[in-house]
Amino acid sequence: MTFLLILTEIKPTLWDDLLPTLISVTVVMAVFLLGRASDVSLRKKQSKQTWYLDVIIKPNINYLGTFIKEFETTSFDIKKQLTQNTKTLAHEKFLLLKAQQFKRLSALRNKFEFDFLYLLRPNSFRSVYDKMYSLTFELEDKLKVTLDSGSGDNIVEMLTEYKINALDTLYKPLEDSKRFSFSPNALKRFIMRLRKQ
Amino acid sequence: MQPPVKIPLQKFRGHKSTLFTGRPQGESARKELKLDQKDTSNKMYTFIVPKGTTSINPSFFLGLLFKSIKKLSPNGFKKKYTFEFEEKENPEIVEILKQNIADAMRNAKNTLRDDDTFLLL
Repeated sequence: MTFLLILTEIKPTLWDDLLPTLISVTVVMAVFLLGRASDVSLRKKQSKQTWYLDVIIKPNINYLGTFIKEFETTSFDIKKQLTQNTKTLAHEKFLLLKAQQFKRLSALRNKFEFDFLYLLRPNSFRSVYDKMYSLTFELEDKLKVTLDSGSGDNIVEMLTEYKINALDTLYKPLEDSKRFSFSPNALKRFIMRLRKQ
Repeated sequence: MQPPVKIPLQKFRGHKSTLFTGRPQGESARKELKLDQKDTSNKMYTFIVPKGTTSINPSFFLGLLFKSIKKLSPNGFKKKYTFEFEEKENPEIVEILKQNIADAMRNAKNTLRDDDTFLLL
């Protein structure tokens, strides 16, 4: 009986003392664990980025420049050949020439796919691959359409637009970590503010 | 066995154009030709590639047929759908167009392989 009396008297005081300590310890541990988890995820992301930059981009970025240059030279050459022969060749022969010339652009795109785009196929960079793939096919479409129409206008503009969009796309994986980075200190400050309130 | 039903592609080539290009154009042709229904029918089909065509770009081909290739598998697709070329005087053009189709099929197979990899993961 006496023991029970003692307990009821002590318990509230003990609880009052323990509760804030328990809450603080839990919060500190949660912050620590979240911080660790965030560090690990950030390190993983950074090593993926380093791999992306060192293994894929740096040694192979030249393929993009070469592809654009070759596409430009070939497109202007096709334009020249089609313009020169549009009136001299019979219709059937002219169509054959067109088909042969367009095949050159397809072959260059194919080569670029093998040399560079396939490197981006691993799942981690899948969105980059998809975007680059559709940009490259769109470029081939646009160039063939303008050459087919006989105008051959805007070749340089199309290639410039492609280059800008391609570089934007290739740099995306390097920007993402900044956007999604997590700061344990910011979380600590946020919890302190809550506790004060 | 019934002969394959012919599907002319002429109207999807575009005015004064000698090309089949563009994924959206391919997808819109697919809708218009009701290929989703044709995929599940028992009939066989032949696409008629019009005379005067100089290129069938993978973008158009995939917009038009990727869903069918995925649904039927590449081999099933080849059994159900074939291509006929109106071009008779220029066999070299026909050869180039066949290469265009083979190139687009390769792209379709690659995409399917990626999808399978995702399923495994």
